[in-house]
Amino acid sequence: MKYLEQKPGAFWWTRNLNCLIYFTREIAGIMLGAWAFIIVLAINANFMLNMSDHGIFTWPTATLFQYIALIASIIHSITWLHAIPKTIPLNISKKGHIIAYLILLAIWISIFWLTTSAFLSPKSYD
Amino acid sequence: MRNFIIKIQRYNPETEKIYFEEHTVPYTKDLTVLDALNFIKEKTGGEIAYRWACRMGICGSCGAIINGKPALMCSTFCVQLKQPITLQPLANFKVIKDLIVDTDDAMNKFRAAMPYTEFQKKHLEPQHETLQTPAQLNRLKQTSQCIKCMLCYAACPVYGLKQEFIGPAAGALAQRYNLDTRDNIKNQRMDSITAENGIYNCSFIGECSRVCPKNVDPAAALQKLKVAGIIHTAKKTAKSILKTPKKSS
Repeated sequence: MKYLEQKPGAFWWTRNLNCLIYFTREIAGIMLGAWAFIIVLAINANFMLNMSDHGIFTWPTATLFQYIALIASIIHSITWLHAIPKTIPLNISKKGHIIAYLILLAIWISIFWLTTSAFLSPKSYD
Repeated sequence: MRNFIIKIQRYNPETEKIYFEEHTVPYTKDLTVLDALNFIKEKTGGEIAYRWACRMGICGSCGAIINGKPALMCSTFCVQLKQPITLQPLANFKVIKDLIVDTDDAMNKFRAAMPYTEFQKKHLEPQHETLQTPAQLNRLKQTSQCIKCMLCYAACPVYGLKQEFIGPAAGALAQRYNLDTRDNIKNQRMDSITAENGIYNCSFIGECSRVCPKNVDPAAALQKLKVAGIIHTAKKTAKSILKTPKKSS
């Protein structure tokens, strides 16, 4: 007589949409880590002033990598902001979670918009 | 009149054979999966093994994987399900026979959550009532609704991959007693659940909360415990540093 062992398979994360979102969040985190690592390398090599003229930033895939990193950061942030209200040490309803998520999302979009607009404004190149 | 088609996963521990068996159950609007299974059992002469008791979502014994999702058979209506209805034993547990699984491992993990209060241990016959205000009761009401049906363990991929993990229901249970105003052993409980295989193994997939039939939200309980765990460890470390006698030069 033997009990039947049951273990999740290697593709357990494809079982439903929620698991897939979770997995995308984690994978996006890895992508962000890789991006941060490259930025640290660039800073250490003093490439920041003329990024476009030096080293890894001149690789043909560099722009594509930056875009993927940007998408990864957006996915990671949005999915994490959705998860964060659950960590609040207060008993809040499902409606409260949605409101908290929307507030966090609004704050995040504002920060994102402010930083990118400041960085991309013509004044920054003066 | 149409019928319901029920596909049941069978497992015989003596032959170690796994196979699916298909049955037809006459259509009734208010037929639950458990009713259908009871009908099949009567028709086939009682061969299928499964657990059930209360038939109203209280006892938590009739959990199964219904169409790929952990759910209570007594609270799931056949009309709401896609046909054919597939029944499998709860995932992540060892199958004893057919739909019966061995939940001892998860049940034993509840001990780590220390699901009792110091008051109950010290005063078995209390001299006076220990009253709670409705507001105090409300704080722990959600987590106290857990019926230990083990659906959260069946849904949790972390528990499936690492059986040593304390698990979602144990976390919810710990949170329930931590929030109890009559409790005096919060520190010991926090030491217990923040150990190696404790709450920090949870990677916040959130499947446990999605399948919980009582809306206990174990995922949220675990995240709140993580925050509380960090504060607890920081306090403990600070205390031990302050208590350490300084070496005289």
